[in-house]
Amino acid sequence: MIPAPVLDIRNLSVTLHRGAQAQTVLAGVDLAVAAGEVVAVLGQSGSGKSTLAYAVMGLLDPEARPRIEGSIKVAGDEVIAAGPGQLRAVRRERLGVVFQDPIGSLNPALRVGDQLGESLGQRPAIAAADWLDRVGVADPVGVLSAFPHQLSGGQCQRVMIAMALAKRPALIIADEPTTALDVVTQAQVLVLLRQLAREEGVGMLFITHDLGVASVLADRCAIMHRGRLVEVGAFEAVIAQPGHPYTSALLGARFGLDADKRHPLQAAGMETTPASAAGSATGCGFASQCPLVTEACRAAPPPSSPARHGGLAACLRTDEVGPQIWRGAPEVWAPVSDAPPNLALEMAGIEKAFPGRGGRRAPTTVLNGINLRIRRGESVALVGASGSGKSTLLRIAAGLTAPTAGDVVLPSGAAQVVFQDAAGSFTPWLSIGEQIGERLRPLGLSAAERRARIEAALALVGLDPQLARRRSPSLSGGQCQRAALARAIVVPPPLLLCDEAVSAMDMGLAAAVLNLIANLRRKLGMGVLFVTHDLAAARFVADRILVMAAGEIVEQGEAETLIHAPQHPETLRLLAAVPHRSAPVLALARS
Amino acid sequence: MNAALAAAGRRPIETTIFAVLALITLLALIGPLITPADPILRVDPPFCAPSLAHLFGTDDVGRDLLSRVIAGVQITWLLSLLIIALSAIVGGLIAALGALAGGWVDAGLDRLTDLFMVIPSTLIAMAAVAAVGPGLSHTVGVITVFWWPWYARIVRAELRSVAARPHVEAARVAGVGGLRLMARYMFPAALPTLLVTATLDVANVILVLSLFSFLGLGAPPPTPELGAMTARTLVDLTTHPWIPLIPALAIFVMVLAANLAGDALRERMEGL
Repeated sequence: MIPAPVLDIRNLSVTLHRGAQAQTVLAGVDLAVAAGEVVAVLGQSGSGKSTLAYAVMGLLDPEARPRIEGSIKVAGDEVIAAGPGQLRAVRRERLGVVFQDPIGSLNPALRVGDQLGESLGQRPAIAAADWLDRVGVADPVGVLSAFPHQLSGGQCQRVMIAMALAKRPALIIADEPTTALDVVTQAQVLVLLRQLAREEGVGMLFITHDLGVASVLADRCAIMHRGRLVEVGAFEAVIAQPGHPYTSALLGARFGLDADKRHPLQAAGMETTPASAAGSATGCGFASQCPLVTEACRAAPPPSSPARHGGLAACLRTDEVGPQIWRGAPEVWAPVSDAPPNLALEMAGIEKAFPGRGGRRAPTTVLNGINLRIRRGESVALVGASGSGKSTLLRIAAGLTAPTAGDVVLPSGAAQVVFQDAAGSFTPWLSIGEQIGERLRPLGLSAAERRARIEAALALVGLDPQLARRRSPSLSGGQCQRAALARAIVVPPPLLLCDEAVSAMDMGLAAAVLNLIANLRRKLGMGVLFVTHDLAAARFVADRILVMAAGEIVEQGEAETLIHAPQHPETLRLLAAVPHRSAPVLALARS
Repeated sequence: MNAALAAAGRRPIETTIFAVLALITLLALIGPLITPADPILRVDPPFCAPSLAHLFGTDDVGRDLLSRVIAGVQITWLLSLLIIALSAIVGGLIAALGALAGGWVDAGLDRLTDLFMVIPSTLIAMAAVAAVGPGLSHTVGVITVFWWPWYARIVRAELRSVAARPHVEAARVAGVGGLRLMARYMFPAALPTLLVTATLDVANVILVLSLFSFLGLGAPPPTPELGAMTARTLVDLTTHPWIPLIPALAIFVMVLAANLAGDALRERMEGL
């Protein structure tokens, strides 16, 4: 007999309201999670994957007046239409939750031990220390009496995991639990979750936008697109032989350590603006982008049918799907500009120390004797874990922070910066066009000439020139990052500084922006300094990689050489942190 | 227009408050045109109870109380708005100057702000007014001198926090600097807080103005100032209660409306 699933979702539809507007965010979702199984829900921003998690928890925002249809059973108990008391009982006894923001999810006013005690109920305090030990917290007894703000993000997430597991739930919901963590910590937490789910025999619904992260721990995967589940199946089988064109596109946009650098990443078929309009199209939500589209696809949403990988795919032509449907003639990089490779940046003996707190403690050294030269047309990636000093170095190159000692020379002119927080890098009350135009002001152009240059820059980054009149709050994250690139290149700078420019983006957007940066650099002959924690992204965009740790450059070399023959332990650590299927249990190092 | 009406219908309390504020301002602006009698001159015997001839009755001198209250609202309301506006402008300019210049200029202006804040302002202001002699312009000037530091402090805090935000850094990298950076990219960030603070502050200023008049430091008699009207006729409270109570009630309504409006505005802004 097959055991009853711990989560059983049947024909779930969710409609949320925003003002007077109703939007169908989930439509006809069927999904089950068995005990001891990890199901990864994969999708881009706006695909409805978080709404799914919140619907299961019964935590949809009442302000949005959610209308829920269908059935959600957690360990046999119906969640939809359950009274507040029943819902609380289900949440208390059957559900464990690990959220994205570990520090914000813990109560800052309570000691860790007291919060963990809530999950343990009547069991003695020794159990709490045991749980902290199991989730890999060093010094469990000390952490029990600590407040959340005294712990690191990784430690907080381990505490959250301990809290989620300690009540021995049937189901754990993990909503992007590692997005806010450092890469190295992320790898450890993922492996920990995988291991504990197996040991405890709990089912896990793991929400993520990152295929690499899912690959570490997923037994099965469910792909979401515009509020519909387009494909469900065993993770490895789906990856090997996707049954839906969208999944195939997702796989094409993925960049691992083995991505082909000779061609731009395959970004076709990806959502570039978050559009979660499940109900708007009558047919398949992917029909407008699909190379296999037929008339029948537009008529009605395709039903889930058996796919070749043994799971289900909501595609009428699932047997024909394969990587070849996206592979016409491979795209080629833009021709390289013939600008002379002059020196764009020279940094010599850079030191940076921040004064100690209260003036009594010793100053903190963040950068220690950094030398760096970048030529025009050359792309250099600066890779390191958080706190390695990589962003401070970029800020010094940009002139936003003054070094304590050392020289910064930009012989060909000032650099431009692309920030991680794309939306935040535009002033919300000014138009995008005005802000891009700032760099043209010193040139003394006429208003018409300026407008033409702004529109040309927007067109160059693949945006509609009409966006010049809009303000940043009405743009999506991807549009903002493209607009930020337009601002940087409206007067082509000799050097482009990218600070974690794609780290917060989902796979499709990241691929598109990486392609764009790489193409712009070639066309305009810019030097690029690409700061990231992700060696896979670094390898793809850069000719040369520098690895930073504790304020020093510990290893540098040609990208391929450094990836394939790493020398320094820090490089090895960062390489091991790139999420992949066979992430070793060895990574379960203590935090 | 229809959309605006629909929005007003959804928030009846807020709409009422802002309608009351608009009414007070209107009354203050067109006051002299609608007063039934001259607010300074004696029109009838003193101590007439409210009647159809005199809706609020007459005061201890025999002046029409309704006319005096309307004239009083005009003086009090417009003066408090003037004081707030002057304080916000002076405080905002000083904060912006500090943020623009930075370094020791900023530190110096900040200390100056501190200095004005630690002085027991109401007390010193009273002494100052007593020294230069009572009068509306003196009162306005002296209160403003002690009122701007709050605005300087609030705007400075906002400017400091916005200066570290990515959009201002991005503008700096794009080559925007000096006045333009301040006026276009930084100062607008302080406006919502400034507006909410100012609205909540109207009530404080009205109370201080009334206090000054009550103590005889405001406009000299027979100027119809609400605080002074209450103070001077307090002896009649038991015999002819409407004479001191009606001006006091007018103060109460203005303060309450301004406070509620400030709260409503703050909730709106936080909701953004």
